[in-house]
Amino acid sequence: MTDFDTLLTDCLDAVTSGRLTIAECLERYPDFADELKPALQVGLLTARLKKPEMSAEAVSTLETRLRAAMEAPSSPPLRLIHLPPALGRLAAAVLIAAALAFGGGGLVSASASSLPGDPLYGLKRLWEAIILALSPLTGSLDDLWLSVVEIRLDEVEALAAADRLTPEALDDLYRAMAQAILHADADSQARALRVLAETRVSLSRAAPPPGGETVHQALLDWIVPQVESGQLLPLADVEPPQNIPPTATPTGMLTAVPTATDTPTLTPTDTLTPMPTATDTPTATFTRTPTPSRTPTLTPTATFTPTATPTPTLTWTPLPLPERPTDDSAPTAAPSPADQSISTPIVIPTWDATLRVRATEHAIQMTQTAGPPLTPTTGP
Amino acid sequence: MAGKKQETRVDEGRLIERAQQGDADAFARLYRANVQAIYRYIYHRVNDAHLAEDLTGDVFVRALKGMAAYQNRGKPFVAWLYRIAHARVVDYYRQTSRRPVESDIEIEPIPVGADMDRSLLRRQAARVLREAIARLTDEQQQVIVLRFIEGHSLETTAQIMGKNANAIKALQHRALRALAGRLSRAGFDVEAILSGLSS
Repeated sequence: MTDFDTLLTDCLDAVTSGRLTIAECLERYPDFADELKPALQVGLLTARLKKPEMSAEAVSTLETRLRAAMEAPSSPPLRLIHLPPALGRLAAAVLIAAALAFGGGGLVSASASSLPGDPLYGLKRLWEAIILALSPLTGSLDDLWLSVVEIRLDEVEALAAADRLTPEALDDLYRAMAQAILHADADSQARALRVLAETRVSLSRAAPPPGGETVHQALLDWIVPQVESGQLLPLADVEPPQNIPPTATPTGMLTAVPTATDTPTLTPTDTLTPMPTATDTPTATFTRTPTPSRTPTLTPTATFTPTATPTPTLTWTPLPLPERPTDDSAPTAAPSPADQSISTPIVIPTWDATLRVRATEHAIQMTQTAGPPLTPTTGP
Repeated sequence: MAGKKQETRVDEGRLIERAQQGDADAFARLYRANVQAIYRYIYHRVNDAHLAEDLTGDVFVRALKGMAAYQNRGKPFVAWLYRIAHARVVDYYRQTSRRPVESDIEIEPIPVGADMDRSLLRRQAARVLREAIARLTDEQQQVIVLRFIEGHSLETTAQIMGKNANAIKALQHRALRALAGRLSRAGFDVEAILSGLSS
């Protein structure tokens, strides 16, 4: 700022309020008259012009719409990954129990540190969707979504460090953040702002990937004013600006497709359909013991039926759970499994909000699509 | 004056509290008190009346969704709405890839004479100014609209834009200089228009 800026401001206030004319101002500051004159003229003209107004009809229509929105019953909790309506909470609970019972805990746990593009990443996202679908059993949505944002942010940082950052990863961060802010309330606002500040720093460091410039900039443009003002700015539309093709949102349906080999192996395919069913769960992957056949069958139903009565001694892996943090800050390192193991098997955890997705990131892992190639143990 | 402003702020604070508790009437009052300011702000940034109406609607829908998280820190409620509006405009341009290029405008000369219909002159000048404003940078647009169209004080403008007063002074200077330059290069005689409006 220069002295001229202050002088101009004083003159503008005087001229637009009618206390002085432009000529009087110029007389007061003859040394600056040439520079002052056009600025004062434009400022005064702008101030004098008729102000446009929204039509009364449009104002009234919008008010009606807003009132209707306020008076309508609140919408059901949003789901992170388009979990199909058919997969209700009960089904999701069954999924968790089944996954634990059939030894899925180990696989789920192993997916904790997976990144987009990794084989286990889909599992990580599926678990995430289940945790969200089970809210409020698993915690309040605002806390859960903030945890999801932190996970997405970790992924973006890790991908950027490995030079693997993709527009899709930024897109996912954008969507998660939009949901987190949409669900944030007064209690979670401070945490939301802290997460936003972290995101701002990370994004400022990470160069946008090819094709991801728009969403990268959109994130920054949205985040920075929130961090600086301390106020959250929810988006009406969680769709991120696109300069990348839309990404399908996998929902964790695992479809085993046996291949015709002497030693049958199962190759999972990433099925991005939003309609998984409870029977298409990873549970099958943990139990199948196919019989070798020289003429392998290509019919999944014949070879891919999970056993109805699992034997826990063979397959169950305890799901490690971390200790509850003593404060609300997220742990910076995963607790060691030895500290986390629980002794009681097959319990649907009653996760506390602050533990949930991120604090238990290395325990309650989530997923999106298919896991690693399924190579069943060949039976005798 | 200061007392009245304080009183208004208290009333606004109560309305905000009630709106946060789900009182539709309270939110409607906040809406009615601020809708035109937000509309004008957007209108001058997109230079399209229908689009401005749509985006204004979006702003209030977002505000409604965000009411629960809004923290009243004694700043004018409209400051928050302006921030949402700014984010929405930026979002709009990003999604549509439509943006007025920051270039000079081309306008038909506006004849100014003693017999000129003043209201016509006003309309034509307003149109040209809107086009010129829409070609300024985001921040320059904001400061012009907030300071000269909405008539906000330097301090309020600074609050709304999240900057300090000195930064706003400097920004205002640059914005007026840029605007005057564009109008001048387009042959728009500001002095003559001002005289025509005064006569």
